[in-house]
Amino acid sequence: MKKIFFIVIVLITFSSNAFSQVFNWHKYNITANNDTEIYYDEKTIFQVGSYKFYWVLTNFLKNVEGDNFSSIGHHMANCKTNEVKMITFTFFDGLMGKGNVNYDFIDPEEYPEKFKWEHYDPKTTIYGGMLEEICNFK
Amino acid sequence: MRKFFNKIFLITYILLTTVNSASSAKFKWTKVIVSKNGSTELFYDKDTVFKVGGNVYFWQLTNNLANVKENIFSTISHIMVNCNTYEARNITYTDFKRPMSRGASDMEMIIPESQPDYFDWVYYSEKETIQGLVLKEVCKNY
Repeated sequence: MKKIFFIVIVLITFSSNAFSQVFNWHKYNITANNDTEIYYDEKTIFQVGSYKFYWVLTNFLKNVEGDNFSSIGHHMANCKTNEVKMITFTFFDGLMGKGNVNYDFIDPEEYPEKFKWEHYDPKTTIYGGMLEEICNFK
Repeated sequence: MRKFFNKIFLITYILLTTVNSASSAKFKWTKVIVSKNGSTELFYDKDTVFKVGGNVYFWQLTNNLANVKENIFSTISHIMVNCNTYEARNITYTDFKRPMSRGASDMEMIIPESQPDYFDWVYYSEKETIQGLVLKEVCKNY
């Protein structure tokens, strides 16, 4: 029993430091027509200055365009206004951010004209509901 | 004796799980280096290092310890790095009036949006620059 206890403590202690980080995706919801599901990683939510930053995963389950089955992005939110800017985009040919990278870009660099605050209503949009949950993290 | 260890194991497990959850939104800074003249110290958060596509991303804290300008005592940035070339780009910038990202902040920006001319890949030598040493730490598992 002592040995098992010791091994478990050592494993728990070292597992968080010795290896590279992997996302721990929490599924928020799926669209009504079952074509898109969105996840976020709560351990990546940080308040920096006036904004919250976090990583988001999207799975594209139907009507897939250009072999892009999933994407991972780093987003920032103004929780006072329910507005979001999506900073990075990386598209994969597999679900859950797996497979090959089809393409990636930094949105304000590639599409500066599109890099604007977008409002997401928590009652009428899935992303808005997720944002409300994210903004509740203190 | 067996019951005693079962209890200790359960309590330790609950404590570790709870501590991990409660600190989910707090940075856990690891100090990497202080510059030779003692003016700057650099930290990064190990738990924020993620490889997405070809780049690795992480959060970094800089404390300005001497020659402080405009009362900016610390800054936080989200940085992307190409671990094959040791080139990096700062995506975000937020400054603070006190060390360790405390105090008021009077400037926060997305660099490719606000200062696109400064959003260039910059090579940092691990032997000659303190930023290079941070990149070495960040890239060691990639």
